[in-house]
Amino acid sequence: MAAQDEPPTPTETARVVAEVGERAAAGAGAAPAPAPQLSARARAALGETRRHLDTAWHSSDAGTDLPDAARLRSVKKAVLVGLRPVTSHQVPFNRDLVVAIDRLANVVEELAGTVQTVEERTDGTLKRVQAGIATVEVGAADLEADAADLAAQVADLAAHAEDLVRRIEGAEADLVELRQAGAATRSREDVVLRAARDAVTAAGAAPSTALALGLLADEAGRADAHLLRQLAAAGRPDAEVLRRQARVVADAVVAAAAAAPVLDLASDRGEWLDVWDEVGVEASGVEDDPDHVEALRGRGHRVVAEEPVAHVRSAPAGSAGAITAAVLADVVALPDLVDLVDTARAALRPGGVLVLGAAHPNGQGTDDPQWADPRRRPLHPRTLTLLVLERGYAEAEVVALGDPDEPGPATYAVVARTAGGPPAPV
Amino acid sequence: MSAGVGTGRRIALLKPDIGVAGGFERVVDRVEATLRADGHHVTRLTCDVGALPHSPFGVEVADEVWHAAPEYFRYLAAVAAFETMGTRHYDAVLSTQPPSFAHAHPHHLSLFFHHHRVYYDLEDLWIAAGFAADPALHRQAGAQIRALDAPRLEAVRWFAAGSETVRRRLGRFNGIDRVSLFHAGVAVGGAAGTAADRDESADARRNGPVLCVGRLEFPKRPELFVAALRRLPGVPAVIVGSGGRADWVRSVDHRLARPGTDLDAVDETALWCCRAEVDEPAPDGWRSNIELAGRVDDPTLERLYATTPCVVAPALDEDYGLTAIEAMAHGTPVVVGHDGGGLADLVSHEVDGLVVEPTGAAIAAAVERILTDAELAASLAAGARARAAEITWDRADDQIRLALAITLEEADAGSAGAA
Repeated sequence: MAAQDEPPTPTETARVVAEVGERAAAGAGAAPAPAPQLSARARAALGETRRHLDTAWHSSDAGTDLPDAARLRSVKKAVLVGLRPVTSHQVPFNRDLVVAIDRLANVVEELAGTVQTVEERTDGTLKRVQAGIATVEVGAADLEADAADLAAQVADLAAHAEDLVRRIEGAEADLVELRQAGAATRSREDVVLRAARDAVTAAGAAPSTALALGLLADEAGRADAHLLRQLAAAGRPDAEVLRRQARVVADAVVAAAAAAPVLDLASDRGEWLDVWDEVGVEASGVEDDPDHVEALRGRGHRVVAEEPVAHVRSAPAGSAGAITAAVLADVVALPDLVDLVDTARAALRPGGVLVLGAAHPNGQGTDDPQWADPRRRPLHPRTLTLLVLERGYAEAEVVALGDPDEPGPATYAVVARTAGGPPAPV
Repeated sequence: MSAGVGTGRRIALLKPDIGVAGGFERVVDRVEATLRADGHHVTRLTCDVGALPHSPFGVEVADEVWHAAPEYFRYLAAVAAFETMGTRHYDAVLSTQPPSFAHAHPHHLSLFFHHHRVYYDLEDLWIAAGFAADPALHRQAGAQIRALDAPRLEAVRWFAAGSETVRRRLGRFNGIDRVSLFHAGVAVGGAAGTAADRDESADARRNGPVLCVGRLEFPKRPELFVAALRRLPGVPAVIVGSGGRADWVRSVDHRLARPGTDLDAVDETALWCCRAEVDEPAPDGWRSNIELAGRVDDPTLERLYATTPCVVAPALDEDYGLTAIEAMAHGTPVVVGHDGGGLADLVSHEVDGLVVEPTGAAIAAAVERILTDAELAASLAAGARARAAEITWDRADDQIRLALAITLEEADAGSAGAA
């Protein structure tokens, strides 16, 4: 191994590469069986034993033969012949003894090797157990992290739930206020009707007059819906303001409407429809208030009497060049707004635009009259922009609709474009 | 569920942690989710490859030796780590990236996307590009790793290969044909599954930048994209992705933008092999028509896919080509090189994209065709949508179920061919 402060020589690196590779190739971490690692004392004893055995082996037939050059060879040979009955047994005995002891030495060495192998295997098993424990520990740490994530998600959910509860409570409070206002209106109407009926009876008027008063009473029963419309109307900007706002986004609408007509949702008094007529694009309105429908038709507008989002949902795919709404995005519930954005995308042609007007939330703090509409809820321009991009529109731009000469937060519109068209001109 | 796999199996999913969260990690997450949804008990077993002890197979490797061949020793250490993981009590093992396949189990399914390629098909290129400090040592290490991998791959019961290219590599290097295919679906974006259903007429006009998506690493070859778009200086382009070669790619762009540069004389192979002489980094504040956007979030990437006229995927011999599938799912034609491996498998020339020579000039010509021939662009977009519609996660789920059933001996291996 190279010294710690010197770069390794290529040979050293190659040697280690080969060694690791060979060990790995031997399978599952098993190294080639090395020679038993005996203690020095045991190794010396075994070596000494083998040397003695070698010596004993070579002298095991001592006394059975004579060299040719031995002195007094004939005398000695006679002695040997005399002793042959003894030596003929001694030599095999000597050799058997040497072989037996040699085998015993081998057995001792093998036993030592086996002990070493068992120790190594035990060590390997121990390492695996330690690796297993480490794996379990990692798994436990992962589980702990997952549990922490889960707890954080649950906390988030709880926070969302609390937020929802607060919003629902707010909505319920608004509803109670509206009902109280409706009840007050009804009671005033009842007073008027009772006074009128009394006056008619006292004057001896015709039955048709009493019938008319009955119809009036029925209408008073529908006061809740009507009241809501009246309150909503209180928060709708003036007609000329709305027309001025429409002209700000007119270029984008005109460009998108070159190949398909414009659909104006919740047209109400039809201010935006007026402008679309004024700039010469083919446009129709969607409005669910029968009074407004009648009035708009009377002014020559083409209007469908239907709930706006439902109408867009049933519109054929790619049938509209532009879909516009001056007051809709921030007066419907969020799920309805998402539905509107989705269904409008399907109804628009490639490069078509969705133009949604909304009151800027900052206006709440500056006495902006738009907030007189009780349906109005804060919808930040960034929220609306992110919503349309999230739901698949290719581009979105926030356009200020307010008069630049007037102070205070502007009404704004988000102009969202479906994929496939030129950049928005606004 | 199309394959007849039982539920409630205990499955160990083996995945090395290499510190990257890319497309393959999303694929593995999705496979794990599918198996869980099918009622199996999945446990992920992993090892942090960067933190393994420097003693693979009991050999203590000194730091200086380790750093002389880090790829090799890390790989070996990971092999040892996966081999020692205990999965005896699991019904099956699903291995993912190398070397998790080294783990021994009688019911082992390998979700196989690649070998350790710098020691296999990319070995020569790796050395030629100068990435191996000691070529001889790299070749020695490669031989060791191939010898090490061979019996371990042989012990795997079944392979779900990420593409035809990967299947071919298993045959070429290991003679293995116990392989079925697993074509992963689109990874980017939760709504990506519906991307192909979007308004087809939106393809008529796409005004976004030309797009190249991928990690800025060898051999993804973003340099070829730069070389191509330098020939189209008026065409805006974006490279999405991060990696160790970001500065290099920017320098190449700056170098090729130098006035008087003869683009036809540039050795483009030297560019993507880092052998070219690019003598200075791009100055701060310097801009060209090519923007390096780095990593972007999924909504941004989806928007880029939806507005780009085409995606260029210049990578060399890709394992699969997830980028191409994602682009096609958005109705976006793809330009690939004919040596793109899995990418070239996916794209049919002039049907759903263009397959061209892997050169800046050829790629530029292909991009220009798409930009100027509206009829061709529309036809390729329609083809791309049709191709992407064939590659769904539902089908991928069925493919992994079938492979698992074969691994567990609950389905006949012959049914893989039928599927």
